[in-house]
Amino acid sequence: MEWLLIGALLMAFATLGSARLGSCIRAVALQGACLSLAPLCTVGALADPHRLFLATASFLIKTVAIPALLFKSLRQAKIQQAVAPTISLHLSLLGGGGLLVGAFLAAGNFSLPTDPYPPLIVPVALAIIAVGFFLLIARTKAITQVIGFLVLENGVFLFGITLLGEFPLTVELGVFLDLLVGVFVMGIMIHHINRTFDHVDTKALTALKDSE
Amino acid sequence: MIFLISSIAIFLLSALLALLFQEEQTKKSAALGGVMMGSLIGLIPAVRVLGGSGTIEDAWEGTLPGLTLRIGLDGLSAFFLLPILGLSALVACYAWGYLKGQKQLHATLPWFPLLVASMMGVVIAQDGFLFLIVWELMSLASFFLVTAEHERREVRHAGWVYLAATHLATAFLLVFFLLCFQQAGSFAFDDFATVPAWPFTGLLFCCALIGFCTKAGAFPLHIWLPHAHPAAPSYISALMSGVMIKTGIYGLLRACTFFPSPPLWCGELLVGVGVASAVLGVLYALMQHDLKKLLAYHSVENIGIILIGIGLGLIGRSQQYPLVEILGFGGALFHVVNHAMFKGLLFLGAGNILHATHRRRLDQLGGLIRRMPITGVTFLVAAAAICGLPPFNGFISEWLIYIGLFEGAKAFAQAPFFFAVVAIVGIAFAGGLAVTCFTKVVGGVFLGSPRVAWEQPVHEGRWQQSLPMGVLAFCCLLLGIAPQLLSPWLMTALAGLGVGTPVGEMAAPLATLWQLSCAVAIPIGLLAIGLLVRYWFIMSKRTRIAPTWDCGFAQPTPRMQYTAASYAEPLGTFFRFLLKPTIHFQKPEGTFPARASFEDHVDDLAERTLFGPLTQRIVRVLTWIRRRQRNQVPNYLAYIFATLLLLLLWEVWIGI
Repeated sequence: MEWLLIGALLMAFATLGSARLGSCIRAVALQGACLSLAPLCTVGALADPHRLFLATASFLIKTVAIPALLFKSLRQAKIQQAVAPTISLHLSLLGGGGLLVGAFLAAGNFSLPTDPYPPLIVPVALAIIAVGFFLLIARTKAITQVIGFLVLENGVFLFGITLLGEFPLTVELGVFLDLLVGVFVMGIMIHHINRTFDHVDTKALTALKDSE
Repeated sequence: MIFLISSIAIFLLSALLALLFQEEQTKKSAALGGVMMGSLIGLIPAVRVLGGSGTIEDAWEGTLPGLTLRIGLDGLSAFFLLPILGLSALVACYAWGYLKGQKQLHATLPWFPLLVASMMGVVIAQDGFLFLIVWELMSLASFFLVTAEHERREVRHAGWVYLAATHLATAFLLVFFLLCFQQAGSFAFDDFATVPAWPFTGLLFCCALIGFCTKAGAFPLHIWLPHAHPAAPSYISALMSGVMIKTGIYGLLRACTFFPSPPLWCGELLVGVGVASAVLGVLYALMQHDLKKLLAYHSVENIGIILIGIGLGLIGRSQQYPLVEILGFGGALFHVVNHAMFKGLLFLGAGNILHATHRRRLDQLGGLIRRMPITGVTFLVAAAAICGLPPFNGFISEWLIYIGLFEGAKAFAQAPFFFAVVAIVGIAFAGGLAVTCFTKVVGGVFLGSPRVAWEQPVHEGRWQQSLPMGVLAFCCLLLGIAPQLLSPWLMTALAGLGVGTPVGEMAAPLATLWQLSCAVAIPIGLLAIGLLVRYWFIMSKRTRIAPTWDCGFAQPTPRMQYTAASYAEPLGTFFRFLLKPTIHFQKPEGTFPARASFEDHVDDLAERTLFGPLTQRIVRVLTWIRRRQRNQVPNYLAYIFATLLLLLLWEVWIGI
């Protein structure tokens, strides 16, 4: 169980550290796979329809559908493979390490019931959310924004599955709707930026600044 | 319970249907029919609870942890539900006629049932969380209804002013309910009421006061009223001014039930705010040239009177004079119902006038009572009622507050005595000015002859418009002559407010009221009979219609008539130091003066000295920040991230 969580965490760092978009997307896909396997590794998972459904659906969405979509948009929009960070990759990794320390420190003060998952899940989820946000801030291309958002969503998903026993339907609906909506919005954004500005850099949105 | 739920379900369904249907007639039927049906069904439980069948309560466990939504109907809620649903049903009937041929107003129709549903939600919500949600929904629904004619610039401006004001109110209420939640450990109103000792009552009371008084429109937070009411379609103005602003009063009274023994200064502050609203509201009303703006300022005045009643009740409570407490709260509650009736009626009348003549300026109207008799007579009734003249209902509630104030002045000493006397003087002053103001309106609009030529023949509205106006006018008269009809319901409401054990003490003032009303009604009845006899006498004779003696004016024109502005001018000059009118005056010059003109215009004190400079400063700071903004998506994300991180750290190391 723990190794899945550690894998997810490592993949978050992989997205922070990789210089090419393709490896970023692969890292996110792998992270999604780790997460969707997590509910299956608990006791009595195979008899619980909620956990089975959650695992299959999230695997299909997080590991198959969205990475495929991202690769497709990468090809179609002829996006350059470089990630174009505003904060350099080394500094990003260092910052990620800081966030990880902060997450573990903060999680020490929480007393959340994580059963049947190991208590490690809380700091890992926090760290993944923080890394996701960091990606959103430190990368400029629209497609890296989508990736950052996905990492963020994965962190939220990790938090969510601890609540699965009490509020199964809410968690499931919340997880999938959020994800789909997010990807849709970002997808449209990429498309739009491509059409109008011919590149997918969110810096171009600065042109929308209010005229005074 | 089943009636309450089905009533809300009907409102929501009709809003949805009105949204889906595109064809005008079906859209209108769905929205207005839904409002009428839902209101009538919702009135059943309200009447039952007021009749003494006990309170209704229900709660749902939400899907979120630790959150339960509670709705319920106690005496206080039911008493407010009565005017809300009653006036909504009548306004829906009116709108049926009013909306004919007004294409641009149909698009906002789905918000109408939603507004009624949310007003109903505000009074039946029994926990702070649900209350805030429906409160916000109510603000949004009314915002969209106010901006129905958004092509006009002043309408958009009014909409923004209203939106800003209502968000200010919600911000303070949010703080209020969160502080309450922190003390009580739950959002339920019942749990608030059982908190043994409240810390920082002052802060809580001020938050509630600012939040609720902004919605109610008390001075100096009333600035949205004179903008929003003229901008909204008339049937919406009637609903907003008649009942929506009363939800602010309801909130204030509900907040009073949380604190069993408020400090003395709370009541005194309320009386102070009330006197300021009443006097300044009516003074500004007097100086207006726009009919609907004038009526909006009269709402400020009447909210002031209601606040004086509530403040008096609170003073009575903290000084332990149950009679004063009952008279104060009772008068305020009675005035809430009365104001809903006559202010609703006045705005509906203004709607008819606007619909027929396309004019709102008093100086361009005139002689309408011959062309629109029903509107004229019902408007006159409402005007008499709002001035507090017997035998109409406004007299009864003001009288109750007067008796309470005099009782208070007899019983109190020092500061409470001072406030009671100030309030007596204030209400008397406001009442006198209100009579002046409405003689100006009725004289300018209905008497004399038209001051400008109409583009098309002016005629009475459709029967759907006249019917609700007739009903409202009848209710004004009925409650004026027989106020004891309402007294058992008033007692239930007062019991819900936590007062009202000595019912007998209230019965005595109400009984004298009835005699007083009869004493006025009998001479008026005799006069009416005399007029009938005279009419019959004249009818039997041969009559000839001829001009009256015209003082030697060979060719009188309607422009020679005394105008509404000139009627109000002496008072305006007298209060110049306070009103600071802007005057453009071109005097007639020479032996044969060619042209001369006079124009005056009054800016609101609160807007001029408080909100105008304040918004200017805020805009300056915000512009400065915006100039320095790099406007990049990652920057905004960084702001969000930093905020979340701060909140997390706060939660982890300090706790909420």
